[in-house]
Amino acid sequence: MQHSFGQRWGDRLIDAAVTGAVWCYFTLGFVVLFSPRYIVASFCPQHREERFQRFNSRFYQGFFALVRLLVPRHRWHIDPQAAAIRGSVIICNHVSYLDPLLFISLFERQKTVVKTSFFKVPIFGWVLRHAGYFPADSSGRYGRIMIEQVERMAGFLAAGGNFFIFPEGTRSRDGSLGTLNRGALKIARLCRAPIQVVRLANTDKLYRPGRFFFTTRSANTISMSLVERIEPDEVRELGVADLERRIAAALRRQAEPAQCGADRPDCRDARQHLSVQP
Amino acid sequence: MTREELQERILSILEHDFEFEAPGLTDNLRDDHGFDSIDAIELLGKIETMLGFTLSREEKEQAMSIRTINDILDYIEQIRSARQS
Repeated sequence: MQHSFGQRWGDRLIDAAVTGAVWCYFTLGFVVLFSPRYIVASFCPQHREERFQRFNSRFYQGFFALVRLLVPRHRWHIDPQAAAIRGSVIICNHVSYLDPLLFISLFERQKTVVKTSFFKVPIFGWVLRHAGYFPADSSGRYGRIMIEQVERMAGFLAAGGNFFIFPEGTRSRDGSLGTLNRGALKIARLCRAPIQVVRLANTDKLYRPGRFFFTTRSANTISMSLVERIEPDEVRELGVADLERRIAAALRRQAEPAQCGADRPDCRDARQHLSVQP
Repeated sequence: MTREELQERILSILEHDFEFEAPGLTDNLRDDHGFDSIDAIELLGKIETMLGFTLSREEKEQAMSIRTINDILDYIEQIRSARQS
């Protein structure tokens, strides 16, 4: 469909306005609404990590509530089974910067791997460290953080936390699946935790790689689906190479709509999260 | 335990638990066998079991710079001798 010159510019103006509003939330919203909570929580080392994770989750819930309000043409389908995941290593494809934020908003207890350079950013790096996130690199002073976090991971997962990771390491520009890093699979084996494979689609239509502005005016459905669950026993039995192949195959499969039955207690739990929307 | 015995045990662990194929003493662990920091932390747990004592945080951090199987053997010998002295 051809758009007129005026309509294209109108769309761009709306994209710019929405992006500006979202950035205001990111900066001013953080400073005004959230930074006091982080500061108070930082004085309580015993519960600091848990509280930082919860605040992160709330902050991004607010972010996505704002995005949904401002960008109604993008619809969201979050598989309730995916939203109900607990105590697992979650593996997901990566298409947009929004992907990790979406996971943080969905899970109150969450950890992930973050680009090491982000740990050097003032305030942001402080939040990442105290939230218990991992640096991607373990060299130098980051080795200590890596060792501490890996050693505490089994307890974190056993307490219901989720460790989510995008094993491709970087966003896919064309939707195809890149090479998977095996670190998360090794953590699942080490911690005897289940692996849940989740497929995300179309977050890149809302926030495209390489673009600064949100794309707000085109109709789109963003979806998150649980496509595979690998039990801890299987995780231990399968070699890392076999695990990687199975996960890659699952991520390449077209996601089926969630089928919940009476024999699926996790689905019953999931129904309680039907209202969960990013 | 002699260095030869130590080498045998480490090679056995690497082959059975870390799926190494035909490991060489000077192979680059990361490039040749995909051995990363998570593996290093898992291996440290096995080294602790083998040595019969818990490694300190500083000793574990030292292990993050290991690059070859020879480095692993040197590391264990160094830890052992430091504890004995």
